[in-house]
Amino acid sequence: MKQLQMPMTNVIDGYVDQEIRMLKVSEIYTVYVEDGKVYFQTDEEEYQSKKKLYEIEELFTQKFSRVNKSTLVNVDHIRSFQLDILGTTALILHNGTTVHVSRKYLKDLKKKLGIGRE
Amino acid sequence: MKKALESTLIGFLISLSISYIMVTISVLVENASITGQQLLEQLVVAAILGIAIGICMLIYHIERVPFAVQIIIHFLLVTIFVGIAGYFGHWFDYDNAWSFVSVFFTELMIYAVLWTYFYRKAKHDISEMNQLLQKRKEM
Repeated sequence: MKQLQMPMTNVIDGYVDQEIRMLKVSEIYTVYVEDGKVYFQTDEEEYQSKKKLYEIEELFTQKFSRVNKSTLVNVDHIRSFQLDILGTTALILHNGTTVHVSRKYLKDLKKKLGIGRE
Repeated sequence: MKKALESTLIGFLISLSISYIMVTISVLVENASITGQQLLEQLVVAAILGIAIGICMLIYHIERVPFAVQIIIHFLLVTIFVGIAGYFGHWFDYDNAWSFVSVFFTELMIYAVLWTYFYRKAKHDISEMNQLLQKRKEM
């Protein structure tokens, strides 16, 4: 029921050099915040968003998972996970980007991947 | 604020519980007795120590600090607070350096066990997730 109530969209507006481009969710690797602005990371370019990070998180809750305070990751683009000697978890995306995963968000990420209990 | 209050309360309760157990063991082992005043002193020291350690727990909520560094900072702060509490609670035998060493060593062992547990748990989670990703790739 909850899933049916969610907005069904798989595109979002991104901006670069005053131009607007409709981005497919599948094109986006990460959504991150830098200097107070929200950006989409894709293969070709990094586009700015006019939405806040939490708004994008709510819009694409099925496909994106928050991994730290300022980053959402498209779960379909996760290649693997790593653990370093300091106990820090990181994930590697298909485009080679490494993103730090905060322990606070690891449980939800596992749920999105289909591991772990509710 | 809510996290700070929760941490403080948890620290307070755990510290009082441990203090109660430690005082009981100490009295039994030494076949001694303890006055109401002494018991009250231990309770106050344990309560304050617990609150201080509870507040230290907030270090684990600072995301940009690596987990290993969080544990080290927490360990150092707890060591300092235990040292201060031990002074006021008369936990150490000042004529015997070994009493300081044994408390410190015990604390170190507890942290080593906790670190090992959390590291292995994280490693298990990582392995599980990587296996799932591998299965999806093969599908």
